[in-house]
Amino acid sequence: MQFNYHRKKHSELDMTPLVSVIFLLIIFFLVAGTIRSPGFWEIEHPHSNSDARVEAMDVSIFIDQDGNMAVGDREIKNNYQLRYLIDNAYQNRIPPSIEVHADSRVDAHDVVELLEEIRRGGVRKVDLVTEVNQ
Amino acid sequence: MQFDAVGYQSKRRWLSLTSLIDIVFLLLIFFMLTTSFSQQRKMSLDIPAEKGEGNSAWQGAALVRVHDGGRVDFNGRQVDASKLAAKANQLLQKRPDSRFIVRPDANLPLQQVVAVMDQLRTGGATLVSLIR
Repeated sequence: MQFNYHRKKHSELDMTPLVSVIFLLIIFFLVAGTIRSPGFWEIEHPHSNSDARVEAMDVSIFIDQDGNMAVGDREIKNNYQLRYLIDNAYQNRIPPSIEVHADSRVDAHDVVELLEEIRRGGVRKVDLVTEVNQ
Repeated sequence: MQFDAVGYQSKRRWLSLTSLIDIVFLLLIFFMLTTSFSQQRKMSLDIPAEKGEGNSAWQGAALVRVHDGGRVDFNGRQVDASKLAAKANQLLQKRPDSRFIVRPDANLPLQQVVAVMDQLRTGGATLVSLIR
């Protein structure tokens, strides 16, 4: 039958425009975004006018709004663990670069306590990660 | 001839895009999940040695106290938060290597402290420390 024959010819959908759009989306995400490993917790960084860009650091320390801490993807329970991890991060006696991801709602004294512990580990400078003011 | 089987050739005229689309979808999902659009910046913090360790970091440093409710003391005198940048700049013109020590009250959210440090940086401060 003629009608049947016509349907069979167009039975496959043309995927080319779909692929084009998806490629465009991939290129958009590649260009517009930055790939970051997800942190230990969802952290709401404090806002600042700072314009220094974040670089890759040796150690990332996370502190959430209740003062819980994690180094990289490992939760730490006490300061000994923190010191151990900082000591391990030393390479050829060069102090590791450390970035601190602190929640904007955390008690500032908790952050200071963390800084003091880092200082005792021999590191004199840390980067506090903030977010651009909207 | 068998190789001239035109029907066979025309049947396979279209490349199958299904596997390509599978991979492209996987890539798309990967980038959608791992990409973050938040614009992160950093703020360098200097950690001075503790007071007892006998160092010069504390000498001549400006003490900025941050109180509950947004009050700010600059070297013991209460200042308006908006004038903090000007104050810091004034001091830096006299002593360009001045250190600023920020001391927040207990139970103060970090955002409030970062706002004060932001003001100091606007005034040109580079050595900013945080103590309790």
